[in-house]
Amino acid sequence: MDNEHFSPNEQLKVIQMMIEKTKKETAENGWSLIMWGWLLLASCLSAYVIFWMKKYEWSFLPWALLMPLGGIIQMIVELKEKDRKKIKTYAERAISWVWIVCGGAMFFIGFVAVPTHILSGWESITAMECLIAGIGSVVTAKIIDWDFMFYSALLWFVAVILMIFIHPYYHILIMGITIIPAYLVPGYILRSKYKQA
Amino acid sequence: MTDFKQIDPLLHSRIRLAIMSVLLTVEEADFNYLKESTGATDGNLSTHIYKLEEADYLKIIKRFVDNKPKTMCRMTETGRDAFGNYVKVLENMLHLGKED
Repeated sequence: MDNEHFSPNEQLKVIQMMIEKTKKETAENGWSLIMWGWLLLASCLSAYVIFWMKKYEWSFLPWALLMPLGGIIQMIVELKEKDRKKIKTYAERAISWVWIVCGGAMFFIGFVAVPTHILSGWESITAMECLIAGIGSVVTAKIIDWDFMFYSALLWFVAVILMIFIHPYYHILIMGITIIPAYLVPGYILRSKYKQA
Repeated sequence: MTDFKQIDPLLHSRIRLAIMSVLLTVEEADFNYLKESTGATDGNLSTHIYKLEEADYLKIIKRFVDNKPKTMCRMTETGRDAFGNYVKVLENMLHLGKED
């Protein structure tokens, strides 16, 4: 038997050793930060050079070329690694969702909302707040691994899209209505589960 | 009072304890990773994993990657609670040992 003379001290040592060993395996290698770091730096510097040349209308070009390139590289690497990985961690899941939603929001602000002037100036505040609330809610839902909250969090992004087509006078009302299914309903469900536990 | 009777017999095994310690740290671990980290053979590891699955301490997820079967293991809430209780009992035993 593998548990003969297995003292409490030895048992704690096994637990400690396995946890330490696995933690080392899960350490991030930082490739993603390095790749995005270089692409963003190249985009910033190229955009500055374009400004300096007074070709303002072309300043979007480095971003339009390098950001999708980064997205494609990231997607290919992630898909290749996903199935080959021997271990999957909670931190990895949380980090990837943080960047998926932040990347989506950055794309929306940089390539949709601002260039088309559909959301600009003071009138865009409510939409931007909904966007940030959506990021926080999606990440929270993914961290606690709760599909209901994930889908209700997506309503924040539906609200932002609605705001593009609806007069800013009603934006605060849309935000208020979104709070009910996106915050209050999941909040009350969590509370009732907590009380039952 | 804490004694050996309180020790969960299912976790009182080097390999099963090692498997559960790995799964506590990660969301999912591959069968081969568990084999490497515990030093167990295929057959031995399978036996221990199925015992833990029977007790609902872990969940076995089978997938196909590049047409090859891949077995992933994930700790359940029951397993997490059992592991927590096991560590508490161990700590109490060590504490009592020091008092003696």
